Amino acid sequence: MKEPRGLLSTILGRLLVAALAPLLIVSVASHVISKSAIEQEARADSGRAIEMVALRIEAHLSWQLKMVQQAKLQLLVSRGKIDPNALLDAVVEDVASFESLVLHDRRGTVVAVGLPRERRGERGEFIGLDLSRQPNLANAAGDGTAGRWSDVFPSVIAGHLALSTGDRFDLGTLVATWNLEHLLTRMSEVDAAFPGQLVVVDRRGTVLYHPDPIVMMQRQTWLSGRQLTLARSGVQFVPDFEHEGRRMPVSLRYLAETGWTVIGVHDTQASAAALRQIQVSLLGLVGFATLVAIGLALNLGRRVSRPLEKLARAVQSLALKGPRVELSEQPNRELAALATVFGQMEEAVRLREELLSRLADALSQETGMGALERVSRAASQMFSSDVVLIGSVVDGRIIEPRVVLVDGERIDCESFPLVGSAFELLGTSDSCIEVASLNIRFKDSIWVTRFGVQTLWGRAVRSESLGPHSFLAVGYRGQAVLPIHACELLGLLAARTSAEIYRLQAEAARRLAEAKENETQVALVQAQKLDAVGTLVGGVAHDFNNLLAAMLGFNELAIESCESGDDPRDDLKEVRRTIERARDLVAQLLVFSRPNSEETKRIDLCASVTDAMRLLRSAIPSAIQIETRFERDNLYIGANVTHLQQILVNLCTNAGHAMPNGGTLRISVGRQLSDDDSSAEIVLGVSDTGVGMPPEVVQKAFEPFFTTKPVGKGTGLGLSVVHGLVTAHQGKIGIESKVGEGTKVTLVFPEAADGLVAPSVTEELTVERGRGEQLVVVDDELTLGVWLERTLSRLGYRATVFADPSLAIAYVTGHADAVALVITDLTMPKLNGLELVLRLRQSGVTCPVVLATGNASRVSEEQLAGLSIGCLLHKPYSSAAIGRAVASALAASRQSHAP
Amino acid sequence: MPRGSKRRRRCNSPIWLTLLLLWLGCGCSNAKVKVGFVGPLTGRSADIGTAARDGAILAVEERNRLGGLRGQSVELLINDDKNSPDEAARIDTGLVGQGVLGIVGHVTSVACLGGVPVTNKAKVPLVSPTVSTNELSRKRDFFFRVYPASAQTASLLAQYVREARGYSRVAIVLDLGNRAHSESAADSFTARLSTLGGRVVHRLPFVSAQEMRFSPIAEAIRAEEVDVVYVLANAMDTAMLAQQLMKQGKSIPLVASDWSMSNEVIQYGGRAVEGLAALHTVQRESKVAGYVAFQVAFVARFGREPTFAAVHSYDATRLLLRAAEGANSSFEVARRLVQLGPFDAVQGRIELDEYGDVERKHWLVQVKDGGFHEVNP
Repeated sequence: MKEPRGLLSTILGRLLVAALAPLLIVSVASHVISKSAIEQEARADSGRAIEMVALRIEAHLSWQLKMVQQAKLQLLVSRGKIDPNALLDAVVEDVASFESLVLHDRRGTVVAVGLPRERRGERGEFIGLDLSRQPNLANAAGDGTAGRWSDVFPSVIAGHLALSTGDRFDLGTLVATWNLEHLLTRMSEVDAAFPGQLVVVDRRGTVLYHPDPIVMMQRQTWLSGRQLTLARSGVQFVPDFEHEGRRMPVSLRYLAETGWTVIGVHDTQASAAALRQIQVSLLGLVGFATLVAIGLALNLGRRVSRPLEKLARAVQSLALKGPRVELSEQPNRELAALATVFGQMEEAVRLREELLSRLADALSQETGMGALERVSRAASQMFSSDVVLIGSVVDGRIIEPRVVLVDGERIDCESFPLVGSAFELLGTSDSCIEVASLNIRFKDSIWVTRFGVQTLWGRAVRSESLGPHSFLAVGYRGQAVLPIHACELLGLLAARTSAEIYRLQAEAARRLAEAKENETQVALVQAQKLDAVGTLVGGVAHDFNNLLAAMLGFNELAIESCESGDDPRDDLKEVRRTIERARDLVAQLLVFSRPNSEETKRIDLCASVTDAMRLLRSAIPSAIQIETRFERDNLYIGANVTHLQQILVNLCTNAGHAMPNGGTLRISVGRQLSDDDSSAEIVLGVSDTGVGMPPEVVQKAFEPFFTTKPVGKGTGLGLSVVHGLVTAHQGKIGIESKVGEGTKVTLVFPEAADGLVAPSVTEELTVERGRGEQLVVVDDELTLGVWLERTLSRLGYRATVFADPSLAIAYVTGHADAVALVITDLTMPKLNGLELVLRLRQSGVTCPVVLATGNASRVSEEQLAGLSIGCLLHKPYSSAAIGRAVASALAASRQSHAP
Repeated sequence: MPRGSKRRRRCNSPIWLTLLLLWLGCGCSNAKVKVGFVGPLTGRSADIGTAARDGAILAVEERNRLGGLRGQSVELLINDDKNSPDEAARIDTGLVGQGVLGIVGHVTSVACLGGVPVTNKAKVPLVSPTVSTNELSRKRDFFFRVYPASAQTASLLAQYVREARGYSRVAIVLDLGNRAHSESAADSFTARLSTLGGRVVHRLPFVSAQEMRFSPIAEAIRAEEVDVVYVLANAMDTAMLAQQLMKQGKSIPLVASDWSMSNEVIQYGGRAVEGLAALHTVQRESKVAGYVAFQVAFVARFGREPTFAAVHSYDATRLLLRAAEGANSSFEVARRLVQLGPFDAVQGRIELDEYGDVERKHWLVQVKDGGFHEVNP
């Protein structure tokens, strides 16, 4: 859109129009009138002139035609008696304008030539010429009538441009050739008296006469075909005759006898000069009027435009919150009134802006109680109230009124029933309403009793099903009236508080639901794990029985060797190896039975698979062959050991169940690049050659409680839990299966970045020996206690063994100075190891303690530190392990007690 | 925005008032692009001169009706070189001084040789409709033409005379008034004829003048055994020579150049020019749309049929104006002339070579029953 014009240019434009329009109208009118008058005059002048020219030409030509007629008669009369050449010579001599007079025979051949005296010697050259095709001859003699003149043509006899006329008669055709120069001379005489320019053209429009002899000689075409037609039709004046791109007024006169046209070109110079004079004076007047208009416009502009521009600046400044523009004294009444109205408007705008700013502040994105308090504070300021209350309705009570502000201070307020309160009235309307005279109508309400409120303005937000849900109200200790826009704003604030209350309630509900869901999930995983343990126990028990049988067998052999005096050491070594295998078996099972912990470590997946296989081998029927294939060692993932074991047990167990008649279970670990090549992934594949699953079963495989196994053989949670655990490890799980061919489950985990690699524990071979320190051993398994006593005495300690913890406590407290260290089992029927140590510490015993346990996860780091337990010994332990534990605990104690 | 208020605003605009003031004060003055025309408009060669002038006038008028050049109308400055080299040089100097973008002309070779040094020096393109002299061939200068050089036409004619007609003894009558054309054509003809086994037995020069007598030349020809006469003269002189030969009872076939082949040769030659043959660069009975349109327009404008000079001049003028379309100086016009590529002339496509010369197709034309007729050689 175009920018509108300024006031100054508008005024200038209007003034110019007012000043110039009449002047211009008069000027143009006088210009047109004078032009027309000049034209009329010229037209009349030239009309007369060309009429005279035409008459003279016609008279001249008719005389010459008569002469031709006369010559014809003489030729006819003499008919062979007189030499025709001499006769024609005589006529040429009489008519000075004739170049030649030629008699052609009927075929057009020249038979006689009349020439001026000086050219008669050339006669022989011309006689005998065949000029039958010469156009002037054909033209002139065309219909036998005299009086036709030819077009201009270069005459072979005259030797230059000429005209001719002729007459056909019995003897042939007589052609008179006429020198154009004669016409030129005649015309020059007339032309001198003519006011403009005189031109004569022949019937083809070619110039016969023109003041410029060159134009004539060049045979220029002066009239076009259309203009010739115009002249022939009798038109005598053409105001805008076009010639060589110029337009001019001309008078035309057509000569019927010869077909020529006489053209009078008017002299436009004189009329142009008169017109020019008019134009110059008009220009002067217009210039003067323009200057006056500009002066007036500038003056008006200064008085009106500038104050208006200043006003515009003030409005702009207001819009852009710029500095206030002072509108000084105005030059006239209207502008002064405008300035006053603007001042009032400015004040109103600034007030409203302030209100909007507060509203914006109140509606900010802050959430929670802070938002409610912010809204309350804004309402208090916006409506200048004494009290503000925000509350929500639950079970017919205004519960925990969220925020009550009295004079800007937040005050706690108890819940109260909705019915019978002023809020009940507010809840009846969808708009902001007033509850007046509270001190009379609700004199027992807290409003009156606690805050002394008389008038309440408020708004309830209602839901269709439950009625009023929340309130926002402002109270006044006196009477108060809120204008309509304030009511609207109160409605806005009420809506905002209502939304926030809804949100807070919804959030609380969501948190509760989440907590419940979390508990359910943990329980689910644990339950499934127990299910898996159940599966394992059968196999493990079988292995364990085998090991026990081996131990018993070798032990009996050792006893027999001792009894027979043989060396029992080989047998005893076998016993030891068997015990170590049992220890490993138990360690695996323990890993699986640990409660879920959040700990995620960098784990070598290959090693984990190997460990799991040890355990699983027993649980999987021997008809199933197990193959493990690792692309390479040390493929690390970040995982929780327990969860990983659970995943493997579930997958392998499922595979086992899928091969009731035996088959091959393949477990592979490999490494690959992720789809976008940005990182590496570790792939675990578990496949079987079992019965396989149809696609519809595969689709549901990860759904909880979905199982194809008979009742009692599975919980239907296995793959669902695996899916959940893998996802929790940022892994992906895929399953491919074909009925009759088998199933392959592929797990993909992100590779764990290089970090701390768990150092491999190497058993130290050297054990520091004791120096006869007094040790107390507490273990409810007496055989183990006896073994410990013997082992420790071999290591250079003195050990006293107790099966009952309370006896041990009594002994240690009684010999606190003598006892250098206490070794206690954690799990004991009457009093566990931790309680024992607590009692000792409470009795003031500070000696170091070694806590032995079969399940270290039952003790936390904090518990150990709190009871100053320096060392944790994992069961089952070797004599070397107990030696190192005791030595290190004693050394630590010595260091801490060192001065 | 409402229509009415827009109109009111427009009427009130001081800009319009200012324009009105300018109109009142100054009137309208349109700048024009100037183009020259030079040719013999008076004298015995005026037939081709005026025909060429009218061709140029028609081309310029048509151009102006289509909006002129770069929004300016074209003004054709017409001048008469009187078929004289001195006059040609004087006229061209004047035209250069007037700032023309280019000149259409000259029409005769003799005048052209006088004008070319002037236009070359001023770097103003001179586009000739009809100049044929070999002297201006194959030169990288400011001379251009839409008409083939004598060497091409005269050699072809010699071949026709010798091979198609079997003539061997030829007399050449040549007008030394237009020496540049007549001598180069006569030389090319002679050279080609001798290679074909013919011979020029008589070379009869004359200078065309107003009171020229041709009976002595006719007598000289009669005295020799001549198979054919090759006339290199204007139409009227050719006609007069033919008339004198006929008067002396000598029926000798005549061949001529384009120069002779105006309507005037028939009008003045009568039965004497029956059988006169020439190689024409214009096909008179052509029904090509462009030519027919040109022919109709020419007749309407000038009341007579266009001759070969009018056709070529019309082409030369259009070519010059076409080159001037994107040019701001005469030098640029000249540069563009050789870069234009193929140009649609009224009787087919032509193309200037790097020297500004052109090759054209030829048609054998003969006078028969008082008219020109195309015949197969």
